[in-house]
Amino acid sequence: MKDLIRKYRENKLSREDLRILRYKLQSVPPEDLNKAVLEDWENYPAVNYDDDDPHKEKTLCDIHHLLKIERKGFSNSFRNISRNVAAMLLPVFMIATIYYYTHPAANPSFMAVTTEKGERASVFLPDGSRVMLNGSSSISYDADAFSRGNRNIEFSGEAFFNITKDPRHPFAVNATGLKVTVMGTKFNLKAVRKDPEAVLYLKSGLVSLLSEKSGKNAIVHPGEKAVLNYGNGHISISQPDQNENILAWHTKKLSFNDEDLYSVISTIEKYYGCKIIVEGANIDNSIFTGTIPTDNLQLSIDVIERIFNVRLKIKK
Amino acid sequence: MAEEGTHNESKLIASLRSGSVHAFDALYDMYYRRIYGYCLNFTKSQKDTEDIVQEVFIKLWLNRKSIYVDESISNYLFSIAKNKLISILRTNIGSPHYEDYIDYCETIGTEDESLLEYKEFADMVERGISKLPPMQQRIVRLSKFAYMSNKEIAHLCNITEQTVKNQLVSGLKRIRSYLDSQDACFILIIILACGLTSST
Repeated sequence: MKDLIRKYRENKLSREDLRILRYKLQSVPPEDLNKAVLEDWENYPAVNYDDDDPHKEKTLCDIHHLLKIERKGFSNSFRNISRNVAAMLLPVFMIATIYYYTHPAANPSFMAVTTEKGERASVFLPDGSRVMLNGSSSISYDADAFSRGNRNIEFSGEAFFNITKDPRHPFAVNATGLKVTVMGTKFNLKAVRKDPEAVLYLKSGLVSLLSEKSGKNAIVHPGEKAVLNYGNGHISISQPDQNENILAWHTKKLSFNDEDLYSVISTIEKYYGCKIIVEGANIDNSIFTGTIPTDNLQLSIDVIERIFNVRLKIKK
Repeated sequence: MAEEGTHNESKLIASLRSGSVHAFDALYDMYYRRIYGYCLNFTKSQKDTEDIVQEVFIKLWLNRKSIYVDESISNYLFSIAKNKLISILRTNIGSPHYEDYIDYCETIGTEDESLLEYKEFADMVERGISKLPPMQQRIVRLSKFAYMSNKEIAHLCNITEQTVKNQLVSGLKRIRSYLDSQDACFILIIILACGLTSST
């Protein structure tokens, strides 16, 4: 088994090896797999290069920045600073808004994009970052300040953020009661004033989420979901169920991991707004791992019928 | 480069536990390359690797007080990354694209610099497939991702087996020319031959 792992790692698998490996991944107990991979790691050599890898330095800087490690040592000063900053931001934003509304022409660099319910919009920021807004959402920022390196935006609603990496100028999203600081990442944020909570799902990269109410800061890792309770300012982090499909509105793909027929069907019904009836009694006990589109019902049905060896009927 | 005697490392670990940033940097220096290289081999994606590596070291710092090893953090660091690595392994291996990737690697040769990493490869094939006209695309997907035979596809789409075959050939040609236009491997000739070589 560990030979297969090594071959996989070195891109030296043959098709036959792949077949065997696939089978083993389904059938061996997890401890065996863990052990095999650990052994593979232990056998992986450390090579010392004399040349310096600039990537290595940069990553270390990113890490320091995210942890706010100062040379003098990691202290509580981080919390105090961010609490003050957060407190300062709110009045500044209010002033800017009021100013804008009373003197719309006076601040031409103020940019805002708002979507109606059911609308989508894609906003490109001066640094190349991209914000994909879902319905009933808005984003606003000062284009001048932004281009000068002050990467701050105001936001409400739901959007998927794809932020350009720039460790010297951290990117911050300000929404009601919270602030998200990022380096170069992709994440989904849902922060609606009227909701009881805000939800951030991190796809890649690393973000720091600050709750203004509690002053507490949480670091979110890829694949994690952070929920901020507006009521008490509390942040909780969890691994979302693979099948929560938080990004489905944006990726137009539904993904499934080890799901059985009924589970897959109920997700499809939910996304397509239809009812699906299963015909035939001879249903495969298979489980499905894969993705299907959110915008092609017929194709989705085809795939499911095939995988589970069943006939389906759609009732709109 | 500093020597990595276990004596030095256990001192660093002890320092790290008590919050020494200097020790953290030194351990980072010791292990960055190895972790990076291993993760890159395993995930076959530069993006995933960068994320995992960053996470490993961040967690190393955040959990410094409760590090339970004394001599070497090598396996400890690995344990932080392990679940993600295995999860990515399963995803990669499970994908129909992976068989094609194997053929691709065999043909181009793993030492070739132009070898695309798996994610790029899979994305490119996927893009090629999505550029096909809807009917053709449906047939290609049924053949490739739902593993249907030509006969089954013909039955499902209410067309003849010969039509299915023609559509697959034509789709293949289109995908190949798309990949050529992207300066990618023409090797994919072999690959999407799903429905064409199978006798069912």
